[in-house]
Amino acid sequence: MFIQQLINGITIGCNYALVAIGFTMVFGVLRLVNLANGSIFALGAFFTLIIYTAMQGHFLLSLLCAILATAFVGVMVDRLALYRLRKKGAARVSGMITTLAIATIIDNAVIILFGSQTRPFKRPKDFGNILIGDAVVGKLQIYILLSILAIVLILSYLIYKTKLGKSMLATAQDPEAAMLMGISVNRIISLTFAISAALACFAGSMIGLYYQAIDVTLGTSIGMKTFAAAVLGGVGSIPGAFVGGIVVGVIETFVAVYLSSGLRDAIAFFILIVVLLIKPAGIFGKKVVEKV
Amino acid sequence: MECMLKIEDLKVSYGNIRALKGISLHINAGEVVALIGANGAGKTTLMRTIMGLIKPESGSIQFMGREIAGTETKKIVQSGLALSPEGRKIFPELSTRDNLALGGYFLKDSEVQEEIEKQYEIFPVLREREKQMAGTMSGGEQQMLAVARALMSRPKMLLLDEPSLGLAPLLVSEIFSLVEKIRAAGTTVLLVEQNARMALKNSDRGYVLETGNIALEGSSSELLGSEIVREAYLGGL
Ligand SMILES: Nc1ncnc2c1ncn2[C@@H]1O[C@H](COP(=O)(O)OP(=O)(O)OP(=O)(O)O)[C@@H](O)[C@H]1O
Ligand SMILES: [Mg+2]
Repeated sequence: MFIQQLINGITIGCNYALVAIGFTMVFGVLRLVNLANGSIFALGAFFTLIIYTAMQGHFLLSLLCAILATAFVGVMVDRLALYRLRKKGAARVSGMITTLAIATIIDNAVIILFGSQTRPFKRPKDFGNILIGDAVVGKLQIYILLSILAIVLILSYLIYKTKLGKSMLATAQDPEAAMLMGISVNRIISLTFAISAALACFAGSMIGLYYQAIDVTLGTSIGMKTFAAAVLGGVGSIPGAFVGGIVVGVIETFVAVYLSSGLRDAIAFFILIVVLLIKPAGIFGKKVVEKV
Repeated sequence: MECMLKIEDLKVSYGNIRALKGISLHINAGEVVALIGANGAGKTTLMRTIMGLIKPESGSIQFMGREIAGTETKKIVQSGLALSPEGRKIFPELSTRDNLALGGYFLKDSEVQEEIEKQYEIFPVLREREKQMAGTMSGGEQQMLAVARALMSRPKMLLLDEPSLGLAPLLVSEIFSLVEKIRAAGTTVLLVEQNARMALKNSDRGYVLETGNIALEGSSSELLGSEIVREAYLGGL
């Protein structure tokens, strides 16, 4: 029972981790709290579902198309709204409020296009189970875990080992100095939004497959949970977001099983409050002095 | 002498505060030119405007015959200008080597390695600190890194904004002897300094900036001898 729930928690948590990594990357380069991240997650899941339904089969191909479409939306969110604010030198809080408006727009667009009711998310096939000890683990869970692990490893390599990744890190650490190197900071920002949205789409689609259903309110709750995860890990830290996501997933699963399933969605708030009270910088965070 | 950088009637404002009120100056190829002035005179503003970080209100900046006022910073870097900015602005959570590599953003990989080696020869301390996070280095080391990083792009002209700020006297003279080395290697230098005496002693010509206007210009030895400069910037000595 314990092992079983632990694996369930990690499966969910890995998906939170992906979304939290995207959130934290955007925060890293722009010092922007992107409140639209959860909505992008739901949008991505719907894209996959719609394309998959239309294409009759070919799940992976549908997923790939949906990832590209969601990444494009992510880039547009920046180009059409946030970029203009930056150019005008608007206060940081205007950016955050704008992302709240974008979240509302995306959520309602999803409702208009796909409806507000819960939609079944058909699995491409019955994946079957395997036994680990006396725990019954879905093969789908294993696939989700392994693919997310692979994505995180590739992403880490990209960010920490390549020239492109280092220019992203440089932009996050000092955008003006990055410009002085000749880095096109706006291109780096677009790329960051694209990656963040792509990660959210992947996680959304996996959650859809896992629960076999999606609805638009999922975005809001995932947005909160991944925000809590990023804060727990230390906002701006990619390893932190990864660990934070898994911890939130595991805690909420245990709380739902051993305390009350009604607390599942509330626990993220509790974690958030505890972290902010005890260690506001998070697990991996450094004390950052807000740059003015 | 060939004119490398020519600025004419440059006006720059922050909101409705005008920081540069119509500046004209020129720098010839191979020169070391000092720009001195009190706090808030507009020195950093001028540097940032040359690099395209601030868009000027009006006026022209010509670099090697091409107008660069208001162009993208990336293009300006590619055309052969580099700035070691005020406050160093190194990337604190990247290693010394990574900082340098980013300085050579437009070079080929093999050229980057070559250029890093060259910088290590000029700044041996950086080789010792190669793997260290730049943010954990001492102020002096960070300043060396900032200058070396700017040199990585093989600029035709190097802008230095207060390279001696906060350094011990010994390091200050080291930095200034470096300026001479940089010039000897064929790079033109525009040097911004609060340390007016040192700057004028180590340059060919100088400009004195006063609240957004050029108040004086001349050869550095002339300026060192002038009453006004002595009283205002050299502590009346
Ligand atoms: N971002 C900004 N917004 C508004 N005003 C600014 C800004 N940056 C500089 N200023 C103003 O422009 C003027 C020139 O500033 P600048 O930094 O160019 O001076 P400086 O000569 O480099 O001074 P210092 O020797 O202290 O570095 C100052 O009055 C300063 O207050
Ligand atoms: Mg200055």
